[in-house]
Amino acid sequence: MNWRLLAVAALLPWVGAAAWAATAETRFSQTLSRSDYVHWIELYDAKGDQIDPARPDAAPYSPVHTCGRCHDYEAIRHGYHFSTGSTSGDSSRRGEPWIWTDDRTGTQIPLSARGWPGTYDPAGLGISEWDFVLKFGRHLAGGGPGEGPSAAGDPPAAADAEDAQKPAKPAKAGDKAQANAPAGRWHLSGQLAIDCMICHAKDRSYSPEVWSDQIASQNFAWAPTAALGLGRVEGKVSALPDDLDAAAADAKDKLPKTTYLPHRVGADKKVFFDVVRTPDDRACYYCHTTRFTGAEVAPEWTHDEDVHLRAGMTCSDCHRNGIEHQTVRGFEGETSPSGQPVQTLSCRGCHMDESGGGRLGAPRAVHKGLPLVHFDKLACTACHSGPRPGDKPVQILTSMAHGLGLPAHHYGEKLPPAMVAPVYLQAGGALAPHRMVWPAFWGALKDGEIAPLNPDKVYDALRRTLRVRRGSNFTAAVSEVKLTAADKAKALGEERAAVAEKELTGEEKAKLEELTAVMAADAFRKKLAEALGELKKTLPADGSEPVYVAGGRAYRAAEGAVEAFEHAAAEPYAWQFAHDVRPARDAIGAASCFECHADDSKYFAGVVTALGPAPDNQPPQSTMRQLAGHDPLMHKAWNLSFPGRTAFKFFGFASLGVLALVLLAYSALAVVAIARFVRRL
Amino acid sequence: MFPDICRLPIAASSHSSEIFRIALPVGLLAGAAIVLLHLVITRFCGKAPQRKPWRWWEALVYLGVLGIIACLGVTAFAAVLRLGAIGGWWLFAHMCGAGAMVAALPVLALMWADSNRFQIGPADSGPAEPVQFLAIAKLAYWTVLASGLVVAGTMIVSMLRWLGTPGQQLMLDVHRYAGLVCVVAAGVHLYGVALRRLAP
Repeated sequence: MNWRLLAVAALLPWVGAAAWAATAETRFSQTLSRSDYVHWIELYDAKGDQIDPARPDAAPYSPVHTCGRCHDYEAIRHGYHFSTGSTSGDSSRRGEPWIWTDDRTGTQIPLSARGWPGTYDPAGLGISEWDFVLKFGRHLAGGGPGEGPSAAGDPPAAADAEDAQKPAKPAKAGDKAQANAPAGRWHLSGQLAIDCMICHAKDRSYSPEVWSDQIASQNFAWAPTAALGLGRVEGKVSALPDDLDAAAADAKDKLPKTTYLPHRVGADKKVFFDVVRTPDDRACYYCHTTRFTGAEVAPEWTHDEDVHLRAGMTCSDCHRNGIEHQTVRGFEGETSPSGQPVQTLSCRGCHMDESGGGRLGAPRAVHKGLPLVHFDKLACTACHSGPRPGDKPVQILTSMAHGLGLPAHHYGEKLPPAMVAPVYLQAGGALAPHRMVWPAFWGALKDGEIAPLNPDKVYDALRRTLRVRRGSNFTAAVSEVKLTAADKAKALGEERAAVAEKELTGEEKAKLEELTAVMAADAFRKKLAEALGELKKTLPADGSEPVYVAGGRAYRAAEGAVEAFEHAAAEPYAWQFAHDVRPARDAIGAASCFECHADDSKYFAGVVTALGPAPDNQPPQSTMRQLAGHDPLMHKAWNLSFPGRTAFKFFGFASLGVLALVLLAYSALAVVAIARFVRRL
Repeated sequence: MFPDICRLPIAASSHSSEIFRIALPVGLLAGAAIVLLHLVITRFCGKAPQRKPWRWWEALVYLGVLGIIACLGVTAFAAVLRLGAIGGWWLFAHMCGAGAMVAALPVLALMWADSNRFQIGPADSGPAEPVQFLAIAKLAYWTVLASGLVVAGTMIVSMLRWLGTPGQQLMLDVHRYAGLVCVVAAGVHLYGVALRRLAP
């Protein structure tokens, strides 16, 4: 055979593959310009059909098919914000979990499918994608669980969307599919696909509040249209019966109606999307806001914003990503699934890396006079991030946990889950500030392991026992106590007990408060014993024992009473934070070494008290020093050495001055002796 | 080429701890080699001059300084070799020893400098004067003083708000190597003294 022919035959597959690859690269249109592309675009529905916005029966637009025509939705859907799978960003460092809070049962379970220790996989607790989206959809950007149970595999998004529109098939007896039938009403709600505009809307017309409302109404497929203000959506999927056939002829009249606003639609049926390539901070803040709460916290206007933002940067300047949306988290040692090196997007990489860094004009950290050992023992954030440490960490509210960003009247320190910051813990050998939350849940103890029970099932089982009234909460319901005259007399004496409450001294009021706390804890334990007994009836007879975990303790029934015990499941969940970053002059230790190296330094002496829905008059407490795992004797020894440092510097200079003079004098003598010797030769 | 060469010190600085961990045993072995070499040489040399007795306070200062240097060497080098970096109680002990070192060095300098002067050229006629130290011990003494000055100076300067991180790193590197030189020199000096005192 001719060798040329052979060579051509061998090369053909490669050429073909290269040609295919070249074609694949151009599947999605690009401008490659640094200027923004002006998005006057056609709208497409979930089936991929073009929408005529002027029609009265127009479908809501689908970001999958509208944005996905030019942008690789399939790549985007694996991004860090939308997916928790193995391809989704670097999950090696713990982050803020979703916290399933149920005020009726005293539940606050840290959830994450990223496998972070201390969190629970929602699927493992029987929390379906449907439940998850209804609970947290307010701060989900769509995608992930929003794509429904079928997204567990890896089907094309378009097929998902179509399938989701179809009604669930009636199951036959014994049908395996029925046993695995996905929970929820996806056939009516449609998918909650990634809404690109939740982050990429440039103008201020996008409303997360409308997004949240639409999700609460189960109008998943309608949420992007309504939130962007492209049209008005009337009707609620939540008001429809489960067995409504979405494909039936008359279903359209019952499903929510979309009316596009005429002024948003061009003559050619195109719609203007005001898109920004890198999202604005406002978009990030919707899900990533943290607020301090409590009586001792100074008003918000006294707090400074992150120094980077004040310098004109945006969140996405560091937390950046490509089309695959593997957003850089920005911690040291992070690896990006994109394969790109990202170390210069961390604090140290950008401000201290000698061979790189300095991105966007980042100043080199000076740290004058700071011994290098601090860089081994402390993360940058330990001195530069978050609130300054106080006698105790402050209580915080976050968007993900408390729903910040949506108008409400109930924000405050009593709003569960109780969360605190900063708590300084070891992370990779260095001390770093963390946020902390104590899990609270009803669970089953078996073979020494505690597994949380499904929160909804717990509610069904304990509803009558706990009797939490509407408008009240678990803590109030299980610790309801009223001090009798006899109780008051016992605490204050007969004479003072008869005095009106407003005339009592501060000390007396404190005594009464203490008594109330003790009685509340007693009342809670009685109620808890009842509830644990009730819960036992729902557990399988396999040796499982009902327990309640809250406020750093676990509780179980013991001979008609309740016993508190320590268990790893009751340990707090903590995750590092980095923002808000304070400038160099406001860093801890910038003013004086004594900010940390003193016995009363808040940095180590601050007391962390476990918080949770369980009334506890003696909650577990630890100092920051204990939590950091530091030797108190060593701290003491170091602290003792600090007051003498200034004197030591003077003494050192004097001493070395003498030494230098001796060396100088004898060097001079040596020179003279050598000179004499040379002259003698 | 030139930028590559410029980057070398930066690369070395970012790995200075690792480099020092390698340099440390090499330095200690070099000290042992000097001692062995000297032992071999002295076997073929003539008789040493007459020994001058030590006064008790001279011995006290000498032993004190030797003890301090040993403490500093052990706390630093053992921690570096075992843990990779000095920290915790090792660092605290090292810091306490450093305070004593700063106090003892000038005393050592004032007390022993004269006895450690080298004889340059042929000695004056007449009987040889008794001497306290051999030449190798004298050399080691001046090395201890010079390196001690650098060791203490680099750390005292680091305690002031003068230098940023690169400067602190440079000071630490100089401190480490000067400390190694100081410890080796002290060892050699001890050997010199021992040789002198054990010699018949």
